[in-house]
Amino acid sequence: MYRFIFNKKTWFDLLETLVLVFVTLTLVFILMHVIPGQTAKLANSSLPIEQQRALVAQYGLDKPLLSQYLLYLNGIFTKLDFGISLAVRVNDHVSNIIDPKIQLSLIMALIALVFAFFLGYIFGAFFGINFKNIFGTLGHIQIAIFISLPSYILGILVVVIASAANRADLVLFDYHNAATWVLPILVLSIPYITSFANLVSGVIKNESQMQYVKFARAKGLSAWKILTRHLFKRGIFSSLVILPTNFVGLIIGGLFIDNIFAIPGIGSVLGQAILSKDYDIVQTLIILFAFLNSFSFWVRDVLLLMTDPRLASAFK
Amino acid sequence: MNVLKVFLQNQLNDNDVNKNLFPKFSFTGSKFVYQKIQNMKDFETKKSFEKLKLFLLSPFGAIGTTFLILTLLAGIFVPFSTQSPYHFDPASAFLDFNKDGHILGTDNLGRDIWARTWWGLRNSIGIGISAVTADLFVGVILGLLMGYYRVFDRIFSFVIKVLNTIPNTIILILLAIILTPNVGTIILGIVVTGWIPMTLQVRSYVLSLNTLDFVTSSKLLDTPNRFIIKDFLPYILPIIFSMLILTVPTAVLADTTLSFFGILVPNLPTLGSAVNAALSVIAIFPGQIVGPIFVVVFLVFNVQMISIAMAQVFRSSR
Repeated sequence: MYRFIFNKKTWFDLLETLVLVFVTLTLVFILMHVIPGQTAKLANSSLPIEQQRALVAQYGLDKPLLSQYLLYLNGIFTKLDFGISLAVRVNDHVSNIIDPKIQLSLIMALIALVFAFFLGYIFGAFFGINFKNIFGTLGHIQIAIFISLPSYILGILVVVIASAANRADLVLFDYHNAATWVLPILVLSIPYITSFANLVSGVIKNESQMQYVKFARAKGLSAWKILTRHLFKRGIFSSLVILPTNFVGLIIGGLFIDNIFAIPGIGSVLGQAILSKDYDIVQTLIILFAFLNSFSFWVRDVLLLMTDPRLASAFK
Repeated sequence: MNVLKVFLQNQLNDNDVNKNLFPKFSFTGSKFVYQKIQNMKDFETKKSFEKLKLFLLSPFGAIGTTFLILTLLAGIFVPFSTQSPYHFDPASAFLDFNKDGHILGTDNLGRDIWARTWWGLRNSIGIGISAVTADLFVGVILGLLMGYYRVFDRIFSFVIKVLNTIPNTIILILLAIILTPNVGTIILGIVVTGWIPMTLQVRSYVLSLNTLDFVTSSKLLDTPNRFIIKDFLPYILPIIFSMLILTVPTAVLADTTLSFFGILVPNLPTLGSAVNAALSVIAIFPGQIVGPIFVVVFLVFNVQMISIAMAQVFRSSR
């Protein structure tokens, strides 16, 4: 395991990922600061002009772009300071505003991921074993319908159904009421349940037609033992590989779910920041997503190497 | 090298050889066919169109494509028969289904939802088709250049890598807020993410075409590059067509994504604005969203069916 993580290829990829994130950070910073102009940041706020000027001077918004950029980098790398909110919560650090929201979003994504993994695995194994009969066909149709269905459409449908059934209380999120967690997590995870199920059923279907399975069967190993000892293992390996990218996908899906179910997660803060043109918050969230996204690609590659060492020679 | 050049020149000048190139057995889809061909170019094009035919005749492909085209046609022609989507009357806000001649009721300003859905679909189709046209233009040109020249490949691979670090939804949102939302900027936002799959498809296809006989011989005969690149076009036509079927509805739905974060073109009825308006009152009037969301779901399912059919065709023809 050690040699799959600490080899030249993975280190190089990690370096490349970090460089790409840095390039993205720079690009996003330039885009955010060049096009709307320096004072546009404060134009929407309701502060008096003297106070606006004081803020501009305090945070160096009147300095040239390059020195602002260097200040920004300095803030990030020395004290993890991503700037100041000028509209959502005036004069507060972005990290103070975002931190609790991110925690909630990460918790929801994690629960949804675990839920999707187990349920998807069970469904996938069931469809994969029964791929020749009616259950397999039904499974194929179910997968065809739900895979990559945008989560916001499911969310809206669920809300409409809940309201029609007079259970609108389940749709308004409340942190302390466990019942209100059910629907958002279900909606978040349905596309991912399907994607896990698709992968696992495909793997089990393919592997069950392999030579070694036929050989084991001919030797007298029972079908159940072949399933539990060999096929299920392959299924788990291949679905482990898509865990990191699906996790990021769930966080992105959460942006929409937050706005539908009124969850105080990143989605709600992003919506507020966009409407009130709070550029530092938007910029921070974009950089965060860029980092999560490209880092998840790297983790996926490492997991791919770990679970299938045959690929190691191809990567060299 | 010179000997080879002379040899090829002689062979190409010899009309008899050129006209009846080798008759060929080949697989197209699952069929085994014997084709007497004029030259390799016609043959390859024929094979690609065979793929297209397989796609259009498969059940999912046929249903998906028919419904998609019907939806697009309905989006263009139904608005002629509806009321004005802009006419507002606050006295008759939030009407229920089928009251006072409003088939799907009215929204918060008393505007007819039936009219707003169809006009929204039409406007969204307009935005989607303009975005896809731009995608196509950028994708085909860049794809050809990336497939044929190494330098372009290096540069734009890096650009694509940088763009890939940010998820597509976020890029869409980023661009739409930096530039104030109007029709042009929303189209631009869709194109910035939309050109990548188109370009990569064309590029990978051109890379495989580079190994064909006529390319090698043309290169040896010092044919100018632009003629060779022009000859790639008939080959990539089916790829472009299949990408188009998939990207048009995706682009139509893109403004629905943007509307979730309140990024809307003011006073323009689109599918996104219809969904967004209904979403804000969904707990009190859940009936408002039924019309717009039905159109959205219908489009998404068509895309789903088409992409399944496409995956099947590409798998069977491999």
